[in-house]
Amino acid sequence: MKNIKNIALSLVCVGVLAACGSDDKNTTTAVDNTQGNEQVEVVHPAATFESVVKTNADQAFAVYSDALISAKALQTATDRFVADPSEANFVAAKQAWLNARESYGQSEVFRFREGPIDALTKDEQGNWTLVDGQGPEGAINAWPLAEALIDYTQDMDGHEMRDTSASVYQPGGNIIADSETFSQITKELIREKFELDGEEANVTSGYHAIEFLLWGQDLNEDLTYTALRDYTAGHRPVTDYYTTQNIPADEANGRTCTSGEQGARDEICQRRGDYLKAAAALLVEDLQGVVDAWNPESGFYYAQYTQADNAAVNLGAMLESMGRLSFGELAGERMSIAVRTDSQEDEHSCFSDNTHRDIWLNAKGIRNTYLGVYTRTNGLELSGASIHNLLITKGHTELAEQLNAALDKTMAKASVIDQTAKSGKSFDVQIQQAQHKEEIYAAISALAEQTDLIQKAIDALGVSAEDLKQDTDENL
Amino acid sequence: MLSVSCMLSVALLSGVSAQAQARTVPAFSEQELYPGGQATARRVAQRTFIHPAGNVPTIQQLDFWDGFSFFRDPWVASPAITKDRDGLGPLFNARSCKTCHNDGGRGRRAKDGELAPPALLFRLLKTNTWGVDAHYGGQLQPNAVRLSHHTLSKPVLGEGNVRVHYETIQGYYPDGTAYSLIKPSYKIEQLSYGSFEADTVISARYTPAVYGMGLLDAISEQDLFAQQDIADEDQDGISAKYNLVTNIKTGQPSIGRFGFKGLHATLEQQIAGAFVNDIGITNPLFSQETCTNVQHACKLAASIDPKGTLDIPKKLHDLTTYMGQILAVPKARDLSSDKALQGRALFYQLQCHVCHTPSYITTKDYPVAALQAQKIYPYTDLALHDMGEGLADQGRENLALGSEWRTPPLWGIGLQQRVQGYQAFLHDGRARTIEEAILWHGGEADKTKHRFMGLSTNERNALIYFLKQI
Repeated sequence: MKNIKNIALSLVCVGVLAACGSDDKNTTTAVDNTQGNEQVEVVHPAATFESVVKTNADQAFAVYSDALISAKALQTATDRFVADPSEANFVAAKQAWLNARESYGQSEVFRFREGPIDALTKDEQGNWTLVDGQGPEGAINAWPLAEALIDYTQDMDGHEMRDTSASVYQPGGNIIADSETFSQITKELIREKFELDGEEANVTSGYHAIEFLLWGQDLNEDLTYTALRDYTAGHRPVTDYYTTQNIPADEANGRTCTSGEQGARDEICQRRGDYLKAAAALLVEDLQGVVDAWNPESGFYYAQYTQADNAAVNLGAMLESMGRLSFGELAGERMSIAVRTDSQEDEHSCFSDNTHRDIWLNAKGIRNTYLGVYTRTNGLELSGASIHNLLITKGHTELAEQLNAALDKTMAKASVIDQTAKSGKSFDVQIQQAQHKEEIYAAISALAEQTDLIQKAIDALGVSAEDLKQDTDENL
Repeated sequence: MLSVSCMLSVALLSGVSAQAQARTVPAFSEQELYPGGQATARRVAQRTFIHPAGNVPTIQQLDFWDGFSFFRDPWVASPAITKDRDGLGPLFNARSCKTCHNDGGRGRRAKDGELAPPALLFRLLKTNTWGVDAHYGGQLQPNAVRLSHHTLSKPVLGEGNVRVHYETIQGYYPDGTAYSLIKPSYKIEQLSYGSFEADTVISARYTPAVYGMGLLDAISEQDLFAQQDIADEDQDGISAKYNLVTNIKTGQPSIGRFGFKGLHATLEQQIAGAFVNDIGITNPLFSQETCTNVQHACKLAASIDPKGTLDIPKKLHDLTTYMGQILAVPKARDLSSDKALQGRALFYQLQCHVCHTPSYITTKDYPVAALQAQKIYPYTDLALHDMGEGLADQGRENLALGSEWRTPPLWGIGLQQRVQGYQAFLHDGRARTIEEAILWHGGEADKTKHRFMGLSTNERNALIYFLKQI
C-alpha cells in the first residue's frame, strides 16, 4: 500500500496535475524512491506562503476533479438505471451517489472565500467571473431540499403532500406530476426552477435532489413518518422508474409504474426518470465549471490564486475557511442544530442516511488543507508544502503541534459517529439517543477547540484580513 | 464674489471656534476603538456583520450559530414536512430575517420607479391617535402564502404594493458647494381588501442593521431617563422624549428603544414583533397571526395549525433572540488618525453628541453575561426628537408624532458600503451618503445641521471621516 504512495507522487506530477513545475521542487520532495521500500517520507524544507497556497490550489483542482469524475460516474449509473430499472442497476446508482459524496465532502473546505464554488458565474458577455454568492454551490449542494416540489411526499400526519409548503408554485403539486406547467423535464428547466419563485427554500437540484430521487423520503420501514425514527433510510421502490418501455425482463410480479405504494401513470415514471437524468447532468455541468476555474494550466482562478502577490490573502482565506467550516457550518449547522432540535430536516443527507460521511469528510477536508495532503479517489496521494510546515518554519512549532493534535482529535470523534452509523445507527437515530448525543457533542467540542487554534494560527502568521488591510482608505 | 464667500466662511469658522473654546472635547480614549467593549467583534467586518461577540467562548458561540440558522433560513408555509421551519404567513413581507437584514446590515433600498422591495416596509398609522388600520392591520404585507391544504379553497391575497419615486432637491452650502438630495414619494397600488380607513397614513421604514442591539438592550433605563428633557428645561434647543410602550412580558410601561420610533421595549420583543408581522411566525410573545377581521381567507389559513401551537416555540425563539443579542458591533477602524480626531472634535463642537450620546456602561443585571458592564460607544440617546418636516410623515406611533424619530446608533455605519456593497441611511433609506443624512436633519437638529454646513470642505470631510471610522 505504501508503495503506491510513492508512485503516486510522481504520477501526480507527470500527468494528473501537470503543474508540478520546477518552481516547487524545493518545497515538495519525495525522499525515498527506492522500489520496495515501504517508507515514504515527504519533507518540505522551506514552506513559504506561496508554496502553501500553491499546494492548496493543486489540492482544490484534484478534489474538484475527483468530484467531477465521480459525478460523471453517477450520471452514467443513473442513465443506465433509468434505461433499465433493475434492482442491480438501482443499487449501483445509489452506490455511485455515495461514492460521489466522498470527494465532494472533502472539497467543502474550499468554500467561504469567494472562490469558484461560491462565486463562479458568467457576466453579461458570457465570460466567467466571480461574484460572491452567485456561484454554483447552492445548485450543487443546497439542503434542506424542497422535495415536495419535486415528487410525491407525505407529511407527518400521513397525508400525501399535494403541494409543498415550500412553494409559491401551485397547480399540479410537484414538478414531476405537473406535465401541464412543465412539459419537458430538462437540465435547463431544473436550472431555471432552482429557487422557484424567488424562494430560497425551493431547492430542486444538486446532490440532494438526486439523493431524494434514488432513496425517497426517509420514512420508517412501515412507511410511516413518526417522531421516533427507525434505523432505515428512504424506501423508494424500483418500480417508481418502471415504464412500459423499460420494465425489466425478469419482472415476475407484473408490477408497473408506481409512486411509492400507489400505482401511477406511466408518464409519471417517465418524467421521474427524466428528472433524475437531468439533475445528474446538471451536477456534472456545474462541477465542470468549478474544475475548469481551478485548472492549473488554463483556469483563470488558479492563475490568480497562485500569484505571489495574493499569497498572504489566500493563506488567510484558507485558514478562515477552515475555521468557518469547522465551527459555524459543521459543528453548528450540520450537527448542533440537528441534535438540539431533534430534526431530521437538519440532517444533511437525510434521504440516504449518509450524514455520518458528510461530517467525517468535512472534517477530513479541513485536515487536508492544514497538512497539504489529499488522497485522490484512485488512491494517489497528493502532498505539498503545508500550513503545518509553515508554522514550524516560522517558529510556531508548539502551535503547529497543538493544531495538528486538535485536528486528529476531531477526526477521532467524527470517526465514532461514522462507525456508529456503519454499525446500523444512522445519524438521525444517533441524535435521539443519549449516549450518541454525547458523542456528537464531543465532536462538536473538538471542532470548537480546533477553531480556536486555527484563529491562533491566523494571528501567528499575521494573515487575518485585518492585518492585511490598512483601513485608511478614504472611500471607506 | 469670491472674496465675499471667503469672508463668509471665515466668519462662520471663527464662530465655530469661539463656541469650540467654550465646549470641551473629551480626551480620546483607546476604549473608543472597541465600541462594543469586550463584546466587540474580534475582526473588522469584511463581507458580513454576522459575528458573535468577541468575549463569548467558542463553544458557547454554537448557540449563536444555531440561532443564526433561524435568522437565515427561509420559512415555508405550513403544513410542511419541515416541522421546524414552517409557519410562514398567511400574510408576510419576507420569508426570512436575512431577506431584509442582508448580512446583518440593511437590505437593498428601492430604486426610482420600483415597487418597494422587502427591506422597505410600510407601517399603517393614524394621524391623531395611536392605532392601526381596521382592514389591513399595523403594516402592509404584500405577500401571502398559497395554500394547498385540503380544507382550504380560497386563496389568501397579499395586501398590496407601494411604488417608490424620488424627487431630486438641489442645495448649496454657504461656501457655494452644491449638493443634491432625493426625497421619496409613495404610491399605493393593488390594494386587495378595499381602501384604507380615512385617517390611515403610511410610514416608510427601511430595515435597520441588527448588530449591537443586545448592548443597546443592556443600557439601564435610568441612564436613558436621565437624558429626558421633554420641555427643554436646559434650553439647549433639544428636547429628548422617550416613547413609553408596554413591555409585553412584564405588562409594565417601558422605554421603547427599538424601532425607528421606539415601538418595542426590549430586543426580544422587537425580534418577536418582526417574526409575527414581517414573516407571519407566531411566537411566545405574539401568539396570534396578523389577519384582520375582513381577511377571512387569512383567518381560515391561520386556523389550520392546532390551537395553542406556535410557529416558533420558546426554545428556538430564545436561540434566535440570543443570536440577536450577541451579534457583535464591529471594531472602529482608523479612528486614532489625525483626520478622524479632527472630525471627532467637530462632532462635539457642533453638538452632535447631545442626541448622539457617545457612551454608556451597560447594566450589570443584563441576562447575557458577555454584555454586562461593558463600556460602549453607540452614539445615540435612543430618544425621540423632532427632526423637522423634511423627514416627517403624518402618523402617530404611541407618543411619537409624525416628525419625531428616535436617534439611531451610529456605530459601524461607515462599513455599509464595504460589507453590503451599497449604502443607504435614515429611516427610509433616502440618504445615499452620510453627508446627505446629515443634510436631512431638521427640526431640533436644524441648528446643528447649519453649523455643519458652515464648516469648510476639509472640516466637513473630517467629520464624515470620523463617522465612517466609529
